[in-house]
Amino acid sequence: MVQRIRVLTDSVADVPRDLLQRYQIRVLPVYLMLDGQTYLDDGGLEPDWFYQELARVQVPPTTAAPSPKEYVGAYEALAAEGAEEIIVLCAASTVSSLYDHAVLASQEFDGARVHVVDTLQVTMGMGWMVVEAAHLVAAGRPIAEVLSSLHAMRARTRVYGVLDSVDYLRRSGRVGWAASSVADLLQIRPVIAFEQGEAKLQGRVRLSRRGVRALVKLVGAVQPVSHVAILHSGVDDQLLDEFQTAIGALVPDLETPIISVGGIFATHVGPRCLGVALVRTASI
Amino acid sequence: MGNPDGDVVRALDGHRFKTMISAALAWLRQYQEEVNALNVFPVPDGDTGTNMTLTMNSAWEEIAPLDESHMGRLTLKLAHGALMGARGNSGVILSQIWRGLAHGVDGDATLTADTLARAMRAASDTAYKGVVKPVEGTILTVVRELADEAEDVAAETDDLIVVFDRLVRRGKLSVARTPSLLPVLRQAGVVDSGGQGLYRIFEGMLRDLRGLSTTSSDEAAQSDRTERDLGMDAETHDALEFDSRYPYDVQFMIVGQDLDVERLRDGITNMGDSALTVGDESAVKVHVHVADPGKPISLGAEFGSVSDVVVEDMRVQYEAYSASRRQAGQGPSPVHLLVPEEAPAISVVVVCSGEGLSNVFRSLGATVIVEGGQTMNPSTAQILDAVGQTASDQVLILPNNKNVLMASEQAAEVSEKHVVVVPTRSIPQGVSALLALDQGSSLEDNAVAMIESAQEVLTAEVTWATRNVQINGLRVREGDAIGLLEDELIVDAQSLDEAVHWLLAESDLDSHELITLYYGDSISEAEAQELLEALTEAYPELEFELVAGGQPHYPYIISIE
Repeated sequence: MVQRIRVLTDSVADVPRDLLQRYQIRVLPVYLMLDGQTYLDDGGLEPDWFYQELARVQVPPTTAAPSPKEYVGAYEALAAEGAEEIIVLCAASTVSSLYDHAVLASQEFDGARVHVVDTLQVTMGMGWMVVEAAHLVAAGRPIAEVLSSLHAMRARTRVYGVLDSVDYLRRSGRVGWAASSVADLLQIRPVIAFEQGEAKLQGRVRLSRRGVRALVKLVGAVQPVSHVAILHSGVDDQLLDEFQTAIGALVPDLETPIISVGGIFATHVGPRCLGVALVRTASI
Repeated sequence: MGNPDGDVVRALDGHRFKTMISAALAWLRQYQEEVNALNVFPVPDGDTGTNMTLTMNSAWEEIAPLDESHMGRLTLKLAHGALMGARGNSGVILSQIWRGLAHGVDGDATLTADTLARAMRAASDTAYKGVVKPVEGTILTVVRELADEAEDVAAETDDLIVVFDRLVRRGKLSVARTPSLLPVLRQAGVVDSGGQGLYRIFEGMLRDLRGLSTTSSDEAAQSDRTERDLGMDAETHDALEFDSRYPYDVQFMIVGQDLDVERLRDGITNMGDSALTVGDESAVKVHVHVADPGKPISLGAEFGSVSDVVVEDMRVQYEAYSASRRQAGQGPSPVHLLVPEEAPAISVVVVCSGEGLSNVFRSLGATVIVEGGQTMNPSTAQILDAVGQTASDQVLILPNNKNVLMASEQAAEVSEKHVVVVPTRSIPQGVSALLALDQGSSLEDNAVAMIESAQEVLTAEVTWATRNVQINGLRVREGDAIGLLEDELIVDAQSLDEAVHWLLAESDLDSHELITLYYGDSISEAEAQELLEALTEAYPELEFELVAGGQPHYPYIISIE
């Protein structure tokens, strides 16, 4: 069946593969340069292998957004499949140039109507918005309603995480306070909230268990929520279980999928991070 | 009641009292090391004698330039100077005694026996109020009994020489009684150090009233034995005019037979400066500043059996002391100011010593570091100055030592800014507390969260015993490696590494995951690395972290989380 409205996102979104397939969501891969090799983050990187590489390599990997030309190519492909409207959900414009490229490309393309949305989110934070967009489209909602829903949802979406260290975030240069922070002399795990395009330091802990406690407290403080996903970049199974159990106790009626974050997001936060992407319930 | 000296003094004016304070300071200085030696734990900690002397010195400097005959006005100035220079808990209590005394004088132009009785009572009351949980068998007991005595004797005579004589006698008895009131003193076999310091202050005042010298150590030599021979006048002098060619302060005893004191003295004197070689054929005390601390000790060993060796790197002391001098407006500030791009809502003042620890605290967001800690407790004025240097109106202070707590609280009280002290008692507690800092919360909420965070970490410390003592069932010998867990001496060992192993064995490690070793200035990176490897092997399930703390006196400070 030909879909008149299609959803396109980038590989920062970390949407689980089964959902991508169910809703025919198209993902434009971001480039990843690791140890002299360039990869396209198209789902072919095995997460656990990548997290180990991330910890191992001397020169940290870098990422690069696909060019506007590649966005045009993606629009053309969707139009060729029969799309008349394309909703493009991009990683937060505050930390990436993906949104700019997508907008530039939309001005160069007239094969379909393109609506570019700055999600102001990352990883499954934007992923939940992608899924919701696809869900509304599949339910036959008109494009204006889908876009306004996304706009409202954006303000209710957050990612909380405990990083193993601030080093990767500092090197990425994408978050001002982290980039200008002094190198840690002790093992410090920053607790971070990503909301409306901004990464804020919520606290600092020394132990991973205290990190779990801090996250559970943060999630507990934003109830009720409609979507929760557990995110990690390679933490041990026991800790992950503990975390899922604690989060599950807060939201007994929700599924809490565990997502291994993709190479692009992991490059900027580093290995051994634990987090959660959630959407607060809309107030009626 | 008669006065054996013949003269009668019925009233003291400001000028006369000023010279008595000068004498009290000089006398206390003579006994600084005697008071320092009265430490319950055999650890390089506290330095009550040094703290009280520096506090008195600050009080003196406040009144020294004054031409003030009015007793009431002079004592208010004196109290202010003491408060600003108050160091350590003993110094703070001493400053409270002067403050109470000044209030007790209550504006009188002269001091009579009746005024003194009233003033001593006020001094005692104020000192008690300055302490959250007053403990008997301390300087508090001594000042209270001095107040009792002053009231009793004022009812009998108006001769102040008699009054001060009785106060000194009562003070001595009161100090001697402290071990019977405080078990920890009895156990350690010492009298209370703060009480002893206060007694020496009154003794100095009495000597001045009687026209006796308070600066000659000959005088002191007649009344007491060895300790005073350490010549602490020399130390204060050293601190002021420190010669970088001779950075080590070496002290030891030689015991033997037919010791040739003259020949030994010649040998010692030629090695460095500030040499002091005193004693007789059977025992000699040596104190000298040298470049190589091994030389005088080797020489001493040729004469007899060497014991009670104390070697200190004066560069550390000098830095802290000259810092306090500069603090008084005589040079650049000693505190390190990290200029933030914009003023944070809350600034944090941290007390610690050692370059590495300072860097750790700065990296965690400390705004101003005040040098000091286990020894060389910073003064109220230094902490206050650090608070003033911050760009914020709201300031948190992390004292990181129980002996810095009261001076911090005084600074918080005096400051015009909104200041709250987070009562951290160790470096690991300070680190843990600082991690909980939240610029978005109120000062009070932060203090609560920070102390909660501080309590999640255990502190272990390793140092060398500074004297022999029997404590907690351990027979500790001077020079042994000793280990403290949460301020409690629980380990006595032959080596530092052994002490660390024992401390960890005594800690409940099942509920902990991360051990941080801050190694001090006496430990090389290679030594620390070697210990780390041994620990990693012994405890494969724990995570270890090694940090160059650079702290003096404590080779290892260990955080257990």
